Amino acid sequence: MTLLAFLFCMGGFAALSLAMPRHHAALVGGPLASRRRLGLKLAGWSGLALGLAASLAAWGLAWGVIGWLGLLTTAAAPVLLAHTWWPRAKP
Amino acid sequence: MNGKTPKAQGFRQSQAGLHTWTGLLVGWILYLIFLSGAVSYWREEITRWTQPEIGATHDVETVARGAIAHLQTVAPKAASWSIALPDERASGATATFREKARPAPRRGVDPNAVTIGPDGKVVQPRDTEGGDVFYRLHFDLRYVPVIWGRWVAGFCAMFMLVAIVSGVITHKKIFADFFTFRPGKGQRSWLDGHNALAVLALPFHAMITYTGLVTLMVLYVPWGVAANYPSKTAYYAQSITRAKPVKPTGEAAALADIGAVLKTAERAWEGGHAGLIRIDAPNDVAARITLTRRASDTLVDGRWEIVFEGVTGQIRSQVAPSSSGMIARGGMIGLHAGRFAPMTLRWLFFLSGLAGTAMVATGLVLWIAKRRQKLADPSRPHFGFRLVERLNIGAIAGLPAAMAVFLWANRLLPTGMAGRGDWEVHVMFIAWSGLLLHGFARPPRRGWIEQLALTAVLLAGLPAFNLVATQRGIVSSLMAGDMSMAVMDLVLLGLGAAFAAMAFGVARHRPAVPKVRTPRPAPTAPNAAQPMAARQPEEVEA
Amino acid sequence: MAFGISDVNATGVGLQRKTDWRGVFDLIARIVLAAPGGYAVMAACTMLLARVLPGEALDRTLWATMLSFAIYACLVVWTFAARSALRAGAVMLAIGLAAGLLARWAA
Repeated sequence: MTLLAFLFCMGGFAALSLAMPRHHAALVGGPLASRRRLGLKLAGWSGLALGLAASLAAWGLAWGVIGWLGLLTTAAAPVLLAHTWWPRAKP
Repeated sequence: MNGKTPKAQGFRQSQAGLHTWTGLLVGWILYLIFLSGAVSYWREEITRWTQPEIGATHDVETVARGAIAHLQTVAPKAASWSIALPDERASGATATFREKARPAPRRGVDPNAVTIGPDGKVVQPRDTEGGDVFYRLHFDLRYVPVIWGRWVAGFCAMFMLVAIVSGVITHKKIFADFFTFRPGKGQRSWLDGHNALAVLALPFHAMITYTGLVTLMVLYVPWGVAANYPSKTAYYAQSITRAKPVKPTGEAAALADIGAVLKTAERAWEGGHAGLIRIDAPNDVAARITLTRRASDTLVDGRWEIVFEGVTGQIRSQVAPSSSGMIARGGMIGLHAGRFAPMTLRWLFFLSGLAGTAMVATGLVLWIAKRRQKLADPSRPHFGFRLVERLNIGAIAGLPAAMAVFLWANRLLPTGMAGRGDWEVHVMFIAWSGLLLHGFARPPRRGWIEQLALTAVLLAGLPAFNLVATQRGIVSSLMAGDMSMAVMDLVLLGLGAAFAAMAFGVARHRPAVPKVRTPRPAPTAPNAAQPMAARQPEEVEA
Repeated sequence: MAFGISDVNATGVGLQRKTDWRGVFDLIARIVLAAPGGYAVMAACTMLLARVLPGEALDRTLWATMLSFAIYACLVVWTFAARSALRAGAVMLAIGLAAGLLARWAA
């Protein structure tokens, strides 16, 4: 369950980061259509919300919120590192 | 510029300035507080490492029995006995006693205290403060009255809180820039790094700062107490209930078996463990055993106690934090100290603490990088710039080196030496002072490289020394299954490698020659010299 | 830097910027208002909260003290965000007096 929560949060951050034009261009290439942007944002926030739900399921109310905040930090780090060292060359 | 109203723009700007200056003014002390705090998550492990004579604890009951046996021998008629029990991470119990009509010993100077090893027998470990050095440094500082140290720490924490709030307000693109880190671009990279470290662990930074303030809140803000109580004494009388003293009757009686008492407590606490045993009027009919719960058992810091009849081992009474205020406050203190944290969470707290330390360090370096760009003549910077640039070296790179020197002193100072524990710490501060001066004596870039390299050698050298010159090298630790010592040696090695990498990074980084800025002529008179003067230096020396 | 003083003074090159004395005064005024002034206003607010919050004396005291740091931080941020030091001072004084008087009355 912890792993699931972590993956949800990481996926959420990945989607949210790709919803930003600059990062989208660097990683995926090409312009960001507004439809795709909306979809990515929705997926992103859903991921974070699901991560919260999984945390609450794993640890209860008080611990779940605290644990979620901790997971946000740990899940954002790999996404940040990916963006730093993985961008494809722009077409 | 970006469609915001002037008022909103002004608000953000005002917070930007506030953030920079509050950050700088307390930056060096905050760096010390963050680093010593992060390291204090391993307080017990460091204490174990500094006293390799005491092995790992396997069975607390054996230790407790041994302590009582010792006390029966040396002080069967004392007014009270006190035994501090270890948990899985610590080793060795401290057993002491108090005679009637003698005042309680001052902290750190207890002639009656002995250490009980994992086998229940008295051991004589080398005199050292161990992990407590960094723990106390974190909020008491050193060489100043304790109250001053706590005020300085509180002052810095309040500055940090304001820096966090103003930083969040000012960073209008806080989420747009969240995933941006561009290495190798000079000042831009330092800013990205500072932001990333700050924002990534923002929940931790906010939590640790606020809970830190709450931990000493009655000292910093006595007004809540002043509003409802005639004096602090009256407040403490209500908030800290002291047990009534026990009068011995003079009639002798055997104490109940401590193992049984410990097990009863464990059941009453639903799996919790005792951290402190106090026996009043031992070997008397009126004897009373008070068990205090281990701090690492629960999140909420506070008094969790069970009082037993000393002879029969029956429970007399039980207390636990009950009011909403005590629980909330205890929870905050618990969050800050992190004693409750199991290993994984403890590592996460530690890494977050290191992130905070790096955040402060990058902020200090950023201050310099930014101002270097604005210097009219980079070869002759003004006094303030030079001061900060040089102090940064000894304050940032020098502190970890000094901490390593402390560990070296622990290994090298002779065991029989008088005042050994104090001297380990003196040596650390002497080394730090030397490094601060070194930062002023050498050209900045050389200073950074040399101090980072020195730190690397000092840290990596420790496990090597352990292996070669002691019986608690990493190989013997692994063979004995002593993971705590083994992992600490590995972490020291890893940190040494990290500092070596940093030293190489600085050495390899070739800064572009900063161009002297000539004053720009008026725009209506285009000038061949303008393109040259208009270009900013891309890279700045770290 | 938004405070109107030159934060870089070059030496040896002869560049001087005129010191903005109004800005310096504004900055010092805000610092005095925020740091000790903010502490005083926060103290009054804390005393008020410690008396009017629900619950036992011990709980009220603890909760009010726990909240005090958030109050202080907000006051400091406000002092630097206000349009002028004068405005900041007036608002702080008003809050401080009101809280102090109410705390007295609630005793």
